[in-house]
Amino acid sequence: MSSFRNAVKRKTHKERAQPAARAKFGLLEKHKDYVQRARDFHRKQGQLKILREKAAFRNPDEFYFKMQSSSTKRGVHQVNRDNSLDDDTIKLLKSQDMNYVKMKLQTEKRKLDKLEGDLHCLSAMAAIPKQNKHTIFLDSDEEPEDLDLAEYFDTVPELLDQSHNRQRKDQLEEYNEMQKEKERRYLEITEREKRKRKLERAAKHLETERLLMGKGKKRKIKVNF
Amino acid sequence: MKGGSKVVIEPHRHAGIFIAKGKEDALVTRNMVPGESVYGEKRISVDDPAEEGKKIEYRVWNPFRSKIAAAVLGGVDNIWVKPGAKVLYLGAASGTSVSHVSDIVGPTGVVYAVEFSHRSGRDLINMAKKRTNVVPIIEDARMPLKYRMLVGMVDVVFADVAQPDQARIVALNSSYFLKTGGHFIISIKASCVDSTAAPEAVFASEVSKLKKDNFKPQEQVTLEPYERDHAVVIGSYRVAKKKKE
Repeated sequence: MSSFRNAVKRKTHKERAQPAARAKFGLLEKHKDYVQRARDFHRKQGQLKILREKAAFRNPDEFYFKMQSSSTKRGVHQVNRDNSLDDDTIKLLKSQDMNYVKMKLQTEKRKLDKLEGDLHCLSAMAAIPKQNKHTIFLDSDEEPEDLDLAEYFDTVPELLDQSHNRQRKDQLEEYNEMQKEKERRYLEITEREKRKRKLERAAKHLETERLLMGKGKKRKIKVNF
Repeated sequence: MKGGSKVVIEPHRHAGIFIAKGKEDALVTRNMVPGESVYGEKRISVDDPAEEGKKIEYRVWNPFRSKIAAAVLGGVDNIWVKPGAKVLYLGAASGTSVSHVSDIVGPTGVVYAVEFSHRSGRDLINMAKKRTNVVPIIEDARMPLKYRMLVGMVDVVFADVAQPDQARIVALNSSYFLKTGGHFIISIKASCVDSTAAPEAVFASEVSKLKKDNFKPQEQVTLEPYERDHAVVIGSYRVAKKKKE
């Protein structure tokens, strides 16, 4: 019988909004809202229950030394203040604290200024998105689309992002020429080394020749060449 | 100065300006008076590559304190202040930036530094005592006639006067001292001109004012992250109109 009941399609009840005629009663609570409200209620009930149990099982002889310096006022726990210092003294101490903090702040500011003075984050600036805005004014007969930025700044396209120092083309060329000059000079070293070795060998040879031509008996020790 | 040998000095796009790399990471100018700091800035000395045993001293140029330095790091195309240039500097204050401009123009250039306030003028004069290429003038920049006997024709006018009628002041001075085809650099603080309008609008209105006075703006850079709502406008003065071919 129950299987038959399951097979027949039943009317589905949808959750509706509050009808216009009953709008004066406010929002209509949905099941979802009810669950939330109920959970909250039960949680609070549970907490109350725990507190009631704790009160029922309280140890009347419980003692801590802190109890001597504190009391309750209308059921609210209060700690008695230390009254050994009067208000004026406390005021003075606090102002001194403030002076100390201000002094520290001043030194910190000074140090920060000094560091900022010679660390301008130049290389890091190129990596982060640009914060400033650079406007170039053109003549009325020039079109912004025609403007080639690399050409305008007289630099290479790779340096356009490096706004803190877009070196000019001739400066870069000078740099490249310096590089070339350095390579050429390294090559010169190796060439001159080679020539030096050859000359040394020749000098040694001539020295032997000279000795051979001198006085004394000649004998062959070793064939060198 | 210790650790000087570890610093590498790299030339900057603009002549007379360098970048120090090493322990520091800073914009520097070559110190014209070695051994002297003007406002307690750091000095870096490196070996002179041209002469054995000699040292070259550079001074760190803080972009947080100088509008020109901030504009240079902002990537302007040309600052026109270069070795040998003659510069009229309006709003010199204590002369911290002026000292760097004097480093850039070098012994062959001149900086005429105009400042109205006597208090900062005192520092300016003390700075100028040691730098022969700085001419300190304690006068109101609104009355260029008062110092016309001191100032010759200049190549560049720089203005950082932070006054609402800044454009007028610059135009007046330029009409007396700036040569035809010379250049101007103006630092605009938006809040000093009109604190209610949007900074962009203020910059645009100042630029249009300048255009009316024979100035031809070439570029404009805002100074973030060093200054907020500041812009530097650079351009030329009384340029001949381009001829149609």
